[in-house]
Amino acid sequence: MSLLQLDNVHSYYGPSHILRGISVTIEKGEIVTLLGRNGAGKTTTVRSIAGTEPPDVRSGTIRFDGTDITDWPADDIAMGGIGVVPEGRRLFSELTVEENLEMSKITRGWWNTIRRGGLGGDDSTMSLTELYDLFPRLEERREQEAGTLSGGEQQMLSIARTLRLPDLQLLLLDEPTEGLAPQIVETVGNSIEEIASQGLTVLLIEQNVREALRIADRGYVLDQGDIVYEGSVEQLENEDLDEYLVV
Amino acid sequence: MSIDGIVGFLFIALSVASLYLLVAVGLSIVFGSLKYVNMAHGVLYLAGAYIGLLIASSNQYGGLLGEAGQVGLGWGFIPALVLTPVVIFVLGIVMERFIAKPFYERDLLDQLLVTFGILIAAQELVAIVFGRTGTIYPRPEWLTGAISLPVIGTPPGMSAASTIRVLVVVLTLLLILAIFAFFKYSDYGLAVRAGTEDSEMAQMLGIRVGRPFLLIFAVGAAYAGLAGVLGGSLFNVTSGIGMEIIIPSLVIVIMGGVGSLRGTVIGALLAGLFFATATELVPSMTRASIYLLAIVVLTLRPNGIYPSTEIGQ
Repeated sequence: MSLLQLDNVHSYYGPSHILRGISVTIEKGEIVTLLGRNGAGKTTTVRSIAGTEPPDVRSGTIRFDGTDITDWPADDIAMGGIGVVPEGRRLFSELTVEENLEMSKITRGWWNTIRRGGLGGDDSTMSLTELYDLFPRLEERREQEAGTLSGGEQQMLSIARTLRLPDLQLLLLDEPTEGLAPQIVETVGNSIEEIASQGLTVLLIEQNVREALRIADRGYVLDQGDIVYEGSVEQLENEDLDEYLVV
Repeated sequence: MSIDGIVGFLFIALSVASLYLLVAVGLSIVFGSLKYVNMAHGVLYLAGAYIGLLIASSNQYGGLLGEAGQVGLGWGFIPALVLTPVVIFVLGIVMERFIAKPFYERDLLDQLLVTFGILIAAQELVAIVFGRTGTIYPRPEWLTGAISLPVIGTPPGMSAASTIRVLVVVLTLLLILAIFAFFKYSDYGLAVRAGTEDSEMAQMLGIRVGRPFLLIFAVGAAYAGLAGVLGGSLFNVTSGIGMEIIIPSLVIVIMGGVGSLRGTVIGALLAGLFFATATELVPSMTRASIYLLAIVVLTLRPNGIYPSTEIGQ
């Protein structure tokens, strides 16, 4: 069974028909990239999976680990094992780094509190210590307000924050390298590879084709709400896809 | 003024500030985090005052209750002080779910009209049921008279302030510290702060933001209900007190900077000082004093004392 399966998904922003029946399959343990230029529907794809509204998914199904999650609310999807690192990072800028990291392990109701071993228990996918090992910079800045971090640090925090979710299986990364300096792009890319090597499946949305193809196993190309190409990284590298990828 | 006079004056100022603050805190948090202007918050103060009265004493009312003789449990002041906030907490939950929530996404003006209408209707309802004459809270023995306070430099080392006012000030101080601690140290407080900044992102992190918001709404309601009991024992209880408290409270919230707790505290203190000064010097200006203050403050700082964007500070 595939970990994530989008089957003929149509999504709308009000009257605008954005995703025109896309089908995407991701197997456990893969890093899959979704490429395409601005306005192709990449972020709409992420939001359709994540359960945030808009967009409105009017037809088609989204299955996660065999379960139909098409109509699930965003918080249930997050708790069910899909973490989103959204476009623009969306940190809680006036909260400290550590408070941002505490966010996704709180307020899950009394039942979840008991299930995760009582108050103070920790069921997050990665503990604070593990995250600080992965991103030492964040530990140095733990008391600092998130809004005062550099772009690269903010991106690391945005990724790290999502790894605090429990039972995380799939990570959706929406343009994680956007606006970062070239050497930082590589650092962030390496962190993503390292996270994936620990057993997480990754869907990487990118405009930075070179970096995406460096990390990914397989890719899809999206144009005007349709999947126009799919293949392995080697196939994507050899194909002339400029028509779909030039910004 | 003698030392006694100054201490007495300060406690008048502080106790008035405390009442405003207890009401304004809930208003400020809900305005700041949910972008909801809740004039119906005054209903909670009004209901608190009357429910407290019914718990504390047994009175002859006018209105529909005129024929009923003595109405009320008569359990005394302390049970009223403890039970009223609990009742108003529950009323706050009902208000959030059925009145506030459907209007979170609406225009400020829609919210204002609806909640203002609810306040007026509630006041009229109270007037019909309880009559239009005022009622006074019973004061237990230990709450009457003055309390001795140590003051440096006075020959006997003591000065006096009215006991009830000291109680109001101390209780308010504790409750305000509690709300700051709630925002800083509790999970729900963190969720409210995060949800205020980006509620969709909070949801993507698995947090059901509706619940923390409901809790904070109800806590604000309980504070207003408690203020109703305290205000009722400082002043008269009439059907018009909801309006009398909510307008100055809203002015304080705006003066302090919408959503800023620190600003609301400072705004309430200034309003209390102005109130006490006007009472002392120009009693006819007492009611107007806060608006004069607001004109000055908002001219100097158009976005309020602390134009904060973050809740809980």
